[in-house]
Amino acid sequence: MLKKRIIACLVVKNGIVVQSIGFNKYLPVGRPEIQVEYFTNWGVDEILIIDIDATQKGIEPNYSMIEKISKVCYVPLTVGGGITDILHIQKLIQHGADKVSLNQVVLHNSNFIHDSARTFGNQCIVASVDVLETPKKEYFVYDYLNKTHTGRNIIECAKEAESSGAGELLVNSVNRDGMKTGLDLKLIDQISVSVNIPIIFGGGVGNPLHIQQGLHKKNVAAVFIANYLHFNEHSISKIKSYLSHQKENIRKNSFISYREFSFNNNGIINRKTDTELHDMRFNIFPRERI
Amino acid sequence: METKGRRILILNYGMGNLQSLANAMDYLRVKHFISNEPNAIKDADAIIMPGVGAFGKAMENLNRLYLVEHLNKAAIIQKKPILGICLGLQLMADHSTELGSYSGLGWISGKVEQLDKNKVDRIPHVGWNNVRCNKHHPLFTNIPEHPEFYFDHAYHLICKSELISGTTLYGDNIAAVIQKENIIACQFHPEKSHANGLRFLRNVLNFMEQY
Repeated sequence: MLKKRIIACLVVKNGIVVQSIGFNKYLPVGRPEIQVEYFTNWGVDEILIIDIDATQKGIEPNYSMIEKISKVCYVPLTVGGGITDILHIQKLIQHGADKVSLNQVVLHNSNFIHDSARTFGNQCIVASVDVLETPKKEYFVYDYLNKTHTGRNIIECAKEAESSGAGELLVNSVNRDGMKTGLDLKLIDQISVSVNIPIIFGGGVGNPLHIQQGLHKKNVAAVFIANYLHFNEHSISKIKSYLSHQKENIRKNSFISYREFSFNNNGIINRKTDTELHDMRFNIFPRERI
Repeated sequence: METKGRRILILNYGMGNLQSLANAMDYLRVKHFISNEPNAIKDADAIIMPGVGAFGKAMENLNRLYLVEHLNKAAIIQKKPILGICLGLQLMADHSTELGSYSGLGWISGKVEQLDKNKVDRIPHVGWNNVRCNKHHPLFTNIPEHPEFYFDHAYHLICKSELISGTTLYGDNIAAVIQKENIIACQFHPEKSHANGLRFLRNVLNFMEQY
């Protein structure tokens, strides 16, 4: 049976991974290849690298960074940011990317998706859409370069991406970005009935329960997580232990397991009792003084 | 191990995720070289055809680089061990209907068709799926039962069931691993399937060494 995926999303700015909050504040985390190595070992299903600098500065993707990352990444690697030409995709794939995520070109040039899908196959192209909820509770496609919403209907945009050949659709909620308040489940409902390609959803994950809520939606194939993974030892392993504890349909293949732990309602690991901790304690024998 | 001394060619026909595969081979400490030269096929002891891309474009590239004739010779006459991955598997078929109608290399009699839209709710088939296999099969040594591998494809190969040594369930039972004499092919991406994938690749390399 096809498993639901947990995708680690690494937002890269100036060559280092950052936590992004509301698309305008950034906290530095560390070098991407080190993050990727840890996440792979902790059992993540896929890695998504988004270079938010490249498009802004109008430069090509950072191929040497991708090559370094791919050397420690034995799970699928999707790369986004700075792709404006078919040649960029070819070079990225040659440097170790497996799929590419297209965002700006989705907004401005749907022919580009068509052409790249024709060359590299649909399965290689992930169309990425940032969604802004206006105060009137309407959803619009967001243009992160101009920091405005484009006035484009989100459903239409998704359908257009599908028909021009995208293999997956990645939806990110701008309002929830870095808020840790949970996924926008209403948005999932609206968008998932409109297209037939697998949907990757994210934005706002603050605890494992939020991920479970997303995976429970029938048409969500994967949830991507960014900020919640950082500054958190064994983050992926703990999430997956909770999800498998809840009998979710996920891949369980990690060397690290939190099977014997219990979880609270939000999916966070409970502290062990004092007696258990006491039993785990190393025995210390103070040196005898004569 | 002897595999280390063998010359394994990763065929570059402009479509593969070469670096991913090269990284996996490095991890397994296996000597390999990447080339798009017809002569490289002659020199190699074993060949890997990686694959990300569309069928028509891939065949066009193979023809443009004058690789088809040499590949046929290596596979059919010299019987060099060959591994095809994803698109590499599909290219071995007679015929594909991906974005048009194209003929393939024809090493495995069968045709490549789109996944059945009526039976699955999402196309392409992306993600980790269990492969049903005989666990005593040499290609699945050291791999746990019903292992998960990473798939990413919209088309699949339909061929005789005796050639299929592993299947996965997505709507229908899809051919996941195919073996015919010196030819092994998998629809999933072993280089992207974490520990199980690396184990599978190791088994394939062992097969290549012994063949």
